[in-house]
Amino acid sequence: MLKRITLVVVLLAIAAVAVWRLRKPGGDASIPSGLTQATSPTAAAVPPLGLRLRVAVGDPSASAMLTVTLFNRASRQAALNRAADAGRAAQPAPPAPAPVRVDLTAAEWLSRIDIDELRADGTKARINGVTVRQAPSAVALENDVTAVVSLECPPGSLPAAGAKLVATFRSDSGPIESDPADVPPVARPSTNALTAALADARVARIANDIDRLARAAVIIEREAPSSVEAPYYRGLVQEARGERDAALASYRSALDRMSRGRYSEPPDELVFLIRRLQGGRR
Amino acid sequence: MVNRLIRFLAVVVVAALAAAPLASRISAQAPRGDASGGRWVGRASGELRRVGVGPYVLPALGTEPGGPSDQSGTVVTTWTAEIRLKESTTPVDVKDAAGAVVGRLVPLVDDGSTVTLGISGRMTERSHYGDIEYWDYTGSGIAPEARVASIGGGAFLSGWVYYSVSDHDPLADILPNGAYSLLGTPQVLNGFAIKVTHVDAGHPDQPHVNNMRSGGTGSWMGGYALWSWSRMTPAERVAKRFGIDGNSISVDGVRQALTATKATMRDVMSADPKSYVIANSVMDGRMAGVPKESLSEKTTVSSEWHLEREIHLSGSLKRVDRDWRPKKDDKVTATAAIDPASNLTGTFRFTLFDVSRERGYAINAGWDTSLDLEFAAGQAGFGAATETADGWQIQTAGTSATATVQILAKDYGAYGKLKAEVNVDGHWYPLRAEGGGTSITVPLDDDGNHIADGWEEVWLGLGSPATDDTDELPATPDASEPANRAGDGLSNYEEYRGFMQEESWDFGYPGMRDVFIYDELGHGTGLYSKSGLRIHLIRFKEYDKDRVVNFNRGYATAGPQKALHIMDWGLDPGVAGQASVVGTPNVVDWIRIDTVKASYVQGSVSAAEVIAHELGHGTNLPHHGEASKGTVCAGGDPMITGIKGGQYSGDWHCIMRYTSAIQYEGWDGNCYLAPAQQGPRESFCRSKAGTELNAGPQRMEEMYPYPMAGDATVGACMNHLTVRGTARNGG
Repeated sequence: MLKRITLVVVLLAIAAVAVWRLRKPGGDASIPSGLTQATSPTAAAVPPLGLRLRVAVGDPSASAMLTVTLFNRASRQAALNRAADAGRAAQPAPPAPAPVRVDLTAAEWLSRIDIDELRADGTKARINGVTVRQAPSAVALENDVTAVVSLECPPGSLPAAGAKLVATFRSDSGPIESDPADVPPVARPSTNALTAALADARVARIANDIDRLARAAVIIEREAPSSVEAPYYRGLVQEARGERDAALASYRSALDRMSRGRYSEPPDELVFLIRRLQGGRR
Repeated sequence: MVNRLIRFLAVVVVAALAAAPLASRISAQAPRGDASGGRWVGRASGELRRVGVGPYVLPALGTEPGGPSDQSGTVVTTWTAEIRLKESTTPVDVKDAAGAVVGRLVPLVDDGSTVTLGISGRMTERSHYGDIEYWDYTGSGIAPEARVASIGGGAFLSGWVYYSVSDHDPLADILPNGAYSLLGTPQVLNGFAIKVTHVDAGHPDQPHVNNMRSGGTGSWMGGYALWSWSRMTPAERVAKRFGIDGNSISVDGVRQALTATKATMRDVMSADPKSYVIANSVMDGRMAGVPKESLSEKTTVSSEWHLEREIHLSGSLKRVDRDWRPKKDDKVTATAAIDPASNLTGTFRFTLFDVSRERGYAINAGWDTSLDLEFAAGQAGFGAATETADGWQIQTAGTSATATVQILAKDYGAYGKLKAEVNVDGHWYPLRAEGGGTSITVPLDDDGNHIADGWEEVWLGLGSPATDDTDELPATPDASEPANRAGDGLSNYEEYRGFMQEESWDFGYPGMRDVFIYDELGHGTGLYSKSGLRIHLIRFKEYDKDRVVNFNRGYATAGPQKALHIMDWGLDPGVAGQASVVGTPNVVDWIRIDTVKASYVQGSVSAAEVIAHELGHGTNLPHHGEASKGTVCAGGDPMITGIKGGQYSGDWHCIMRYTSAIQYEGWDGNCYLAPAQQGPRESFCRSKAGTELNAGPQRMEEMYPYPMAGDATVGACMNHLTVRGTARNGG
């Protein structure tokens, strides 16, 4: 098992990119620190990775989910540029930035990621007790490929709704900080059971926690038995437990309950779930 | 009478002034050392006023035959000169006893001065015998024309100036640094046309008119130590008097010559001597007095002058590198130099002015409104820069013939002007800018649109207006579509100035429509790049709370332009994506993606398609049609039913087409199970025409009627693609 993070950057590719950026008018070379930067001495070395954080809270007595998404912003932007320039750019397309490979165990992910509350005065306060729920073990970050790490946060460890959290990933080429993410409001099951259950169902899906989803689905069924959500979540639980026919019936029930014109977009996911269970026409 | 007048006018009034020791302040204001080669340019004027006040006696000439007469009246001779004097390039060294040069006497040579003169007035003379005669004087002339006409040339003005080169000049008590002398030459004014009308009161009907030329009209200027009526410098004077080599003169020689000359001056002029010394590179002074020769004190002379030093200094300020365009914290150099042929050195002063103060350092980064260009700190050979109202100024610490200064850009769109001056004698002389005028643009910008020409030529074409926003790519297939599809809300200047995207700077590619997206999810934009738009992913801090991406807009802006915001959102069951409305980024408040569902969506509907579909709505792409509530296919939501011309119609692979139909309404009016594979969606369509299972005539294939949903009612998505403005619903 690897005990360290390895950000393998193909040096030749980086060099080629740097050379390209230098010849391109207005180009900006950004490569990980630690490498020779063949560009203006005033240009700052910026790690090529980007980071996002999303916060989901459900039942306040249960854990909250923190989703950290790591991606190769340099590669992604370059791919977009290439796509836009294809066939019309005055200059040949620059070589694609090298992928950044990340090989980490769950423990290593956790040791590399900090979750902090960003206070109004600019100081940070660490969120303690965070654990890894799900994380990729190896991924080559490039273009739209992401490394999504689901972190679990024990009840009561998050600050109040409206507080801002930031994630920091300590890469070998420097720390990468996410944009601030708001802690969403929490619905108290004692005062609004349906809202709390819907929120908790979403957290359960993020955590891929079928038992928690099942508990939420029961509450939703109880609180809003004729809703679209009731058979929808029931179906998700049934399918996860291998109850194929029951799940299909639940999904169809949900689809039938969808009122005409209520939605501006089709229930792609629901259709997909039904098709997956019943099989397509051909 | 006329002869007396002419002889009187021929008197050159001189002013010889004792040299009072002057403070070192004055020394500091005049050049030291080799500053020869300069010019003195300015104006001078004066008059000679003759007033008759009684019996006129001119002992020097003796009593006129017939005895003394009474005179009354006033005759005034005035002159105004445009002065151009040139410092000789062969100064005379003044040496101390040890042979060290302590100063230089630099002859001043007329270099094309002109003088305009006039005379007017009447003098009435009552003779000893009681006869009354009138003398009316009128006339005018311009030298050197008059001079040339009369005596065939000759300088009007001459003089000299003393430049001390020693802090311990032994002549400081009598000849301070910057002492000068100016002398008008009487002969040059000979030939000045005068009309004198003589009328005998006893015979008023028989005037006698004399058209004549002046014989030297009192040309006169002041100076520090006027040595003689000649144009000799003290050195020449001493050389002539003492037989010393004119190329150099001893300190004692100068002292002797000055002393002797002062005595002469006092004999000529009744006024007290006064010293004249250059101050702030200016010869400025006035004098008035009564020539002793007249004795009767009926004649007064006065003059004043103001000359400024104009060094014959050839130098230039070179343009900055044409390929340089400003980038934050990047530098460019500018070099100023005195023409080596001038053989001069001086202190250089560079001035940045008209410098931009665009907020921040890119259209979406930074907040400060400080000057966008400044001189780099800590430059060798320079003092500290000082800020002015619209720029900066910096000066070399020592003298040199050339100086190169580094200019630091603090903004990717920085612009300003730079001028250079050089000080060789206490006066700042502007240097000629390469390309004309006295300043260069930073960056190089001949068309004045504040976009660097080197960049502009490559990306825009020279002469492009900074405010234009005419980006057309990706092209709209149908040329009849509204012209306002072009543009992306950013002007040429804004695209040139550029933006930060995920903390890296780039510029907008002119000609291509740029769209900005803040992706809160971090999952990217999926297949949206198939639109051909130039997509820029930004961070949260790279747009403002209203989603305006060019929140630092200022010069030549096309107005606010917003970015799209992709956010994570728990949507209704089964729904993976949603846009607030269909319209441009300026009207679409949000793009919501339910990551939980999107991650489940696979197969015929991928997350990349969902994201691209919703982003398409964010650039004014509508669905291919709308659902009909009157469908005969009962039991299902029209959202999942394919009908002719509805959301499922048109190009089979268009990202804006729906692909999750459970059923569809056949052309025979019956409902049929929709095919499981309804994609993939991989492009934005360019026409309404149905393709694949939506294409072709009505037919039956394997018991199913086709086309499934036929041609699109709306479709032709690329015709609707709009980034700027506030278009909605594909309009």
